[in-house]
Formats: sequence, structure tokens, C-alpha cells
Amino acid sequence: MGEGTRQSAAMIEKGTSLWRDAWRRLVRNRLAVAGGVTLAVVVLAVVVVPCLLPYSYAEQDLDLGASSPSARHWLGTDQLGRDLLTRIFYGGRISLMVGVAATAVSLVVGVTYGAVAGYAGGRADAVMMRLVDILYALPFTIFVIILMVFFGRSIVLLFLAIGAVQWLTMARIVRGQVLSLKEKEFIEAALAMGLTRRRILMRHLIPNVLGPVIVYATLTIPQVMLMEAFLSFLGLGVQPPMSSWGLLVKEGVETMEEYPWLLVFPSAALSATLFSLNFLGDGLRDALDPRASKD
Amino acid sequence: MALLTVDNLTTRFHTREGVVRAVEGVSFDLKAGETLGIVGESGSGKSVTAYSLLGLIPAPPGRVESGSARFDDRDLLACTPRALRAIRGRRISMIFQDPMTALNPYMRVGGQVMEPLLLHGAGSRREARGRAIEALEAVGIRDAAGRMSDYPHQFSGGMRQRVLIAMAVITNPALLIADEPTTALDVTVQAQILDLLKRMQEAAGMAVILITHDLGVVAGTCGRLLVMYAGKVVESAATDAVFANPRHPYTEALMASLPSAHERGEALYTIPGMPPDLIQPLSGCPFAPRCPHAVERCRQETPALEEVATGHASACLRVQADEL
Repeated sequence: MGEGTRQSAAMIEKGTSLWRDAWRRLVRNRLAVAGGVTLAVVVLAVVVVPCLLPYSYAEQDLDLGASSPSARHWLGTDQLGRDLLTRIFYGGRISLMVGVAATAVSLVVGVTYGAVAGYAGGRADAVMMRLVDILYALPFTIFVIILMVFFGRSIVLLFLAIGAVQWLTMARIVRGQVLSLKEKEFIEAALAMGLTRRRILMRHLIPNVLGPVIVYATLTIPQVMLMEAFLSFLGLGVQPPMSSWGLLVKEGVETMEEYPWLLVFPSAALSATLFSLNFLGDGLRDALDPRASKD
Repeated sequence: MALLTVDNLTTRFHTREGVVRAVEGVSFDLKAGETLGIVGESGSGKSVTAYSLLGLIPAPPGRVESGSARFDDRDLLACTPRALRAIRGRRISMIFQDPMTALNPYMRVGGQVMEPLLLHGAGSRREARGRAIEALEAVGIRDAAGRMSDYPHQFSGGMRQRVLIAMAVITNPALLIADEPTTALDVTVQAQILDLLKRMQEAAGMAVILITHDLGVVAGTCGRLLVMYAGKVVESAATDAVFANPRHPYTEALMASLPSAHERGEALYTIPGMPPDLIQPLSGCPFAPRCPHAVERCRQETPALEEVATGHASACLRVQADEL
């Protein structure tokens, strides 16, 4: 006892929660840390940098037209003479906002819905999942267009519309996981211990499904960004002269033979962010699984 | 006075295929500090009996159709879910068959052992921690304080069962229900766990219901024994009395199929036939089709559990008629 007990007691005080433990494991994963740092830098940059730039995203210089990178315009300009660097930073704001907001919507709604359906089981589960099937079957574009027509165009609505579609898959994933988990004896043991169903759901079921959920969430963010580009292309998303990474890439593709820089730089920004997200997501999944650690 | 009095418990599962009569009119009682073994093969209703008491039958399709279970001056079967939750884990605890899945892999062992205490409002986190360490030490986990912060996968099967026992007894329950606690463990560990259960029981003075399919497990641990077949109690008596003189052909057959009852190399005895399909309505004695002593009357009349000697009840018509 004595020394050993005190030492281990200190260890427990330091990390009683799954989260603190996960954090410890996460910072040991170099790729994940690199991803996290890159992501942090990107987020900070798109928030701060636009205020410092000499140009605005809408400022045109028609005489200049599309020019290649130079001292005045570091990343060149597009056909309307707008500074690409400025547009990438402003576009990043939109893309990240859409990505994070829509994923957050899908996370909250999807995890709750799926967990409740899976845990309730029986008739409630059947009804809830048929509803998901029905929403799944609605063509996404039409769904969004209807939303836009009814509620007018706005960025917030765009988040909601994309989130409203993305949670379906999340709900299915979580439900499947919960279905298999609830047969495990520790759930029964928790019931026999006197826990309420709600507490079992929050304390025992949801932490156990976090692994796949996080990975799927990090995959959702890029998907959402691309979806936003598609909607913007249809004129339903971001309105010009505002832009987003997805939109910039799309425009870049159209003119890649004449003005390759218009494709290269926005794609680089998008890819770097997506890579970082994936590394971070992988790292999080491993960090959140206590069995994956060697210690 | 009895701690638990179960009277005429009947639990059925209303499935699409029909009504499964899992438990039919089971009655028994249990004194404080006593150990009762419930023995039977798979599907005999022994687990369902225990689960019914705590309201853990999945409903639907399961339903406790009738009966009562007096415990702490109330009827467990008529309790509100809220009242039952307050009893579960505090007055009646349960341990399960498979220690590998009975602990949450995402929670530290310490947190799980403390959970019943915190849940039932027995003091602060600090106190709960202290008691959890004591409980883990009591079940023979070395460096208990240090292992509080380990995850279940860092424990062996036997150690996990010890943790589960610590978790179950930490609230000093009056009754512990152990559902096949040693089935998933290898034989040497089985003996240790049974021994531990016995020690914990003596130390805490709690009553234990030990559910098992292994008569060998019951022999060394239980004072009294209930043999179940097809959802009914077929024999009930002191363990010694049953082993010395089984008063039901099914119990006799079970004992004959114990490996220790045989010479080395001799073929093991098996009971011919299969347990009855509990969806079909039973007429007569449920064991009659497999019973070597069955006569026409056994197929016609449904036997009730009746005392055939002092403290020894049997549900065999021919034993009751003194023919066997």
C-alpha cells in the first residue's frame, strides 16, 4: 500500500474520464496531431486573414483579367481580375462553416435518433427506421430545392438542408451498433443494477458507438463540402460574388487548361483540410477505444 | 421469516409462433443468508424465474402472468418500474454468466464498481472510491487501488468475474442472484469463484440464488435445491437430501449423467429424448416422454409439487404414490 496506492490514486485523479484518456492517447499519435494542428491553422487563417488582406473577395479588375501568380496577386487572379488568395480565404470560411455545421446537425440528430431506435427496438424501431427509409428515398436535390423555395435562400438553411440529409446514414450506423451492443450482458447488468434506460443510453451505449461515429463524421465533412459545391453550382447554395472552396474548384476545373492556378490552389487548400480531417478522425477513433492502446 | 417468498410465478412469452410457457406456477421461499440452487437444463425456466423477479423480462414479448414475490414487505411483481430500480443493485444484485461481456469495455473498472454506490446515493465520490477499492480487495484483486483505473480488457475472465462480484456486493444487498456465474470459466477458476461467492455470502450474510445447469456446482455451495424442468419445479429439498435420495426421476437422471458417477472409460449416461416444446400445451407430467418409469397415468394427470418427506417435495405422481 502506501506509496503505490497514492501514486495510482494520483493517476486516477488525473484522468477519470474516457475523454482525458483519449486525449492522452491522441497526442501520442503524430499523424493525428499533425492533422489537428493543420486544421487549427486553417481555421484560424480563414477567420483572421481575410481582415488583413488588401483586396475584397468581390473587387474586380476587369482590365487585368486572369493573371498568373505575381508579386501583387500571390496566387493570381480569376477571369474577372479578383484576387484568388482573398477568395480562397473567404471561401474557406463558408466551406468550413457548412462542413462543421451540417456535420454537427447530422451528428446530434443521427446519433440520438439511431440510438433511441436501436435501444427501443420492436415497433418503435420499425417505425423510426421506415421514416429514415422514406427520407432516404426522396431525391436530395428536390428536397433541398423544396426547402429553398419555401424558406428562401440562406446559408443557415443550406446547413440545415445538408444536415437533414446526412443524419440518415448516421442514424443507420448508430442503430446497427446499438442493436448489437444492447445484447451484451453489460447492458443487462446495468439494468439489473437499477440504471434508468436513459442513463444506460447516455453512459453505456453512446460511448461505445463513438468510434465509428467519429470516423463517419470526419468523412461527412468533406462530403458536405462537395455537396455544398454542387448546390452552389445549381445556384441553390452560396451566391456570387461570395464563393466557397467547392465552387472555386468547380470553376477552376472549367478553365484548367488556360488558367491552371485557378484549379491548383483551391484544390490544394481543400485537399490539405480533408487530409487533416481524415488523419484526425483516424486518430480519434483509435484514441477513443481503450482496447487499442498498448499501455 | 422468509426474505423472499415467491408464489405461483408464471411467465410467458407471447411470440409469433405461439405462447411459450417459460415458467409455470413456480413457488419457493428463501430465508435471509440462505443459498438456494436452481438447477435445470437450458430452457427449463431457471433464468426466466430470476429475471422475472427483477422485472428484467424483455416485454413484449415476455409477460409475468401471475404470481407474487414478497420481498421487503412488497410484491416485486407488482412494483412500479421506479420502485424496482431502487431495489435493483441495492437490495437485490445480480451477476451474469459471461464476464467477458458483462463489463462496459469503454469504462474504467473503478468507475463501474462505484456505479451502484453512486447511483443509489450512498455517499460522495470519494467515499465510493474507498469502498470500491475495499470491495476489489475483498474479492482478491491485488493492487486494487492501482487497478481501479484499468479497463476491463486488461483483466482475465476470472478476474472480471471477481470484479462483477465486487460490483454486485458493494451495496450490501440482501439477495444476490448469480446466473450461471461459473459456466464461462475454466474449471480451476470455477472453484475459486464459487469459493469466493461463499465467503462473500458468509461475510455479508446475504442470501444467494445460484442458477446453474451443473449439479456439481450446487453440491458444494447450496443449502437447498430446486430442480426445474419445462418451466416447473419438479423437486425441492435440502441439497444433501437430494443427493442422498433424489425423489424425482428427472433429478435421478441428471445425477446419473454427472461424469463423476461413471467409471473412467465408461460411456456417459444421457437422458433420452428432448425437453418438451414449451409452445405446445402440456398434458400430464412434462418429463413423462423421457421417463423410464412413466406409466399411463403420468401422461394423463398433471402432477403438482407435493411434500413426500419432511422438507422434501417432488412433482412425480409415482413417487407421491410411493411406487418408486
